[in-house]
Amino acid sequence: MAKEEKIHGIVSEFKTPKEIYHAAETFRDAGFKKFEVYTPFPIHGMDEAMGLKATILPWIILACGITGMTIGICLSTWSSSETWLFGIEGGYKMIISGKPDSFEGIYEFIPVIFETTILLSAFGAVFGMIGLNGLPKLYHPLFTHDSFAKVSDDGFFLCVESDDPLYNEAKIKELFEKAGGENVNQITE
Amino acid sequence: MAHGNKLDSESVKAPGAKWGGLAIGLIVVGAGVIFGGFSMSKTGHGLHSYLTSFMFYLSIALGGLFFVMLQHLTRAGWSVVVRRLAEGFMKNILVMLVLFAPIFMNIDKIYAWADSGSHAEAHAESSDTAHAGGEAHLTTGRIDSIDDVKLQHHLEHVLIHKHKYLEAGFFKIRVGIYFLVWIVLALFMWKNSVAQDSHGEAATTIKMGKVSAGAMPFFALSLTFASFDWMMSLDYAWFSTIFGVIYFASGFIGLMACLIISSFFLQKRGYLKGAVTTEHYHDMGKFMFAFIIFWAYVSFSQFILIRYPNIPEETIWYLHRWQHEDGSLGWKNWSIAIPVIHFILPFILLMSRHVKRNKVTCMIMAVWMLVASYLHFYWVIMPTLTFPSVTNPAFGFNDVLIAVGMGLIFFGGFLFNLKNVNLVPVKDPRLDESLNFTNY
Repeated sequence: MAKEEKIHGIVSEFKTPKEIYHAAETFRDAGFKKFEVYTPFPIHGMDEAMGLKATILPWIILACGITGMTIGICLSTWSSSETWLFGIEGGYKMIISGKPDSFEGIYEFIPVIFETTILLSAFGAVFGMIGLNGLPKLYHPLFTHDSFAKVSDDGFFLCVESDDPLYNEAKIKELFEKAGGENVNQITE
Repeated sequence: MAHGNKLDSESVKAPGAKWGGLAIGLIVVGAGVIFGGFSMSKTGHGLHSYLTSFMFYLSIALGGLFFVMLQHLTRAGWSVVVRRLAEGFMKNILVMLVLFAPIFMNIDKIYAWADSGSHAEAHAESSDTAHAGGEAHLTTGRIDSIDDVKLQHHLEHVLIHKHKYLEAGFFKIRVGIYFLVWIVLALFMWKNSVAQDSHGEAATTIKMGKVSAGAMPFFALSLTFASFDWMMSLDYAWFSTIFGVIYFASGFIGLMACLIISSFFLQKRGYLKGAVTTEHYHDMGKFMFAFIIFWAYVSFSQFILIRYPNIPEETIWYLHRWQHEDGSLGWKNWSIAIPVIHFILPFILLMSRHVKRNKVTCMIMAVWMLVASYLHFYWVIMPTLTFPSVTNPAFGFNDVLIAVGMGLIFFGGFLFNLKNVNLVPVKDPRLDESLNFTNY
C-alpha cells in the first residue's frame, strides 16, 4: 500500500473464557466503545459484558415484513379488480368459482399476503444480519497478527480499535496488564 | 454467566392449611355464584353457558397435563420452576370431573341430537324407506320446528347416519374413557413428581419422560374426540377435523396465561422468591405468543377450507355466526371481534420482547388472553343454543357469573392441590439449570 500505514488497534490474548469475559467488563467500565472480542465459540453474557446495545435487526425485519404485507395486499387486490383504489385502473377481473374479487375476496388472498410477508421478513433477517455483521469480509487487519490463527482453536483475543474516542496506548496497555492479557500487540491496517 | 441464582427455600415450602381453608371458601363461594348465574338465566341458556365455561376451564386443565408431559418428553430444563404450578392446574382434571355432572345429567337438554335422538334410532332400520319416501319421519323434536323441508331432510339424514355414534349411552361411555385417560395420566405425573421432592431420584424423571412419550397419542386422541363430542356435536350436521387442534391451541394459551398470572400473584404474596425470574416470564410470554399464532393458523385453516369450496353443509356453521335468519347482525360482530382480540391485537402487542420481559405487561396480556379465549368458546358454543335455528347473542351478567363462579372453583382447586406440596419441584435434577437459564 502506498498510503501511510494506519493503526487498526491494540490486541491482546487471553487464555480462558472467564478471563476475557472480565477483560471485556474492564474495558466497558473504563468507557471504551469500539472494541471487539474474538473467541472460538460464543460466550454467554458477552453482549452484556461488552456493553453492546441491542441490535436493530428486529426493526429491519418488522419494516421488511410490513413492506411485504403491503405488497401482498396490493398485488392480490389490484390484479383481480377492474378499478383499484383511488380510481387506479386495475388488472384483470377474473371471477374464479364465483368468489368476490378485490378487497371483498381478501380472505382467499390471506395465504398470498402471508407468504409475501414471510418472504420479505426472511430476506430482511438474513441480509440484514449479513449487512450488520459487515459480511462478506475477505480481509481483516487482525489476520496479520502472528498468533491470531489460534482464535479458531483456543485463543481468546480482545482488540481495542483506534477510532475509539478514548484511544490511548498507555492506558490500554495498563488495562490489559490489569486484566491479565498476554502478548499485547499493535495492529496496522 | 449468571450462576448462583439461589432459591429462597422458605418461599417455596408447602403453604399448608391456610391455603386449604382459602380453597374451600373459594369453592363454596364459586358454587354459590354459579347457582346465582343459573337462577338468572333461562334453563337452556344457563346450561349452554355452563358448558361454555366448563370447556374453557377444562382446556386449561388439559393444557396443564400437556405442558407437564411435554416438558418431560423434551427433557426441558427452563420450565422446572413453574412445573409444579402447571401440575396444580393439571390435577384440576378431578375438579372438572365433578363439574361435568350437570352436563352429564342434562345431555338431552344441551345436545340437539339427544333431543330427537331416540326418534332417529327408532327409524334407523327403516332409513332407506324414509329417504325413498322423502317423508319427514322424525315427527317430534327440534327438527320439526324448521320450515325449510330440504333442511329438515338433511338433518334427518345426518342424524340417522350418525345415530350410532351420537347416542346417549355410547356418549356416556366415551365421557368415562376420556376422564379415565386424563385422570390416570395426571395422577401418575403428580404422584411421581411429588414423590421426587422427598427421595430426589433422577430415575423418576426418566420414567416420567418415557411414560409421557407413550401417553401423548392417547392424550391427543382423547382431547380431540372430547372436543368433537362436547362442542362440535352441538351442531351435529357440521364437521371439521381440525376442530380438536383449535381446542388444544386454546387450552395451551389458557394454561400459559394461568401460569403467568399465578406466578405473578404468588410472587407478590412472597412465594417463589428467586425461583421465577424475568427469563421465565419471557419464555412463558414467548410460548403464549407462539400459540396465539398457532391458534390463528389452525382457525384460519378451518375457515378457508370451508369458505373456498363453499359447500352448504359446511359453510352453515360460519353462516350461523355471520347472519341471523331475520337478516340482523346476530353473531357477525362477534365473528369480526374474535380474530381481532384473539389474534391481531395480542400479536402486535406481544411481539416486542420488552412487553414479555416486563412482569406487569406480561401479566396483563395473560389476563387479556384468558378473556379472549372465553369469548372464543362463547362464540363457538352459544350460537347452537336453539339448534338448528340460531338466536341472537344474549351475553349477559348471568354468563359472567357462571364463568366467574367456575373460575373461583377452578382457582380453589388449584390452591387445594398445592397446599401440601413444595411450590417448586425442589429435588428435580434440572432445577439448577432452570434457575440459572438466560435468554439470549
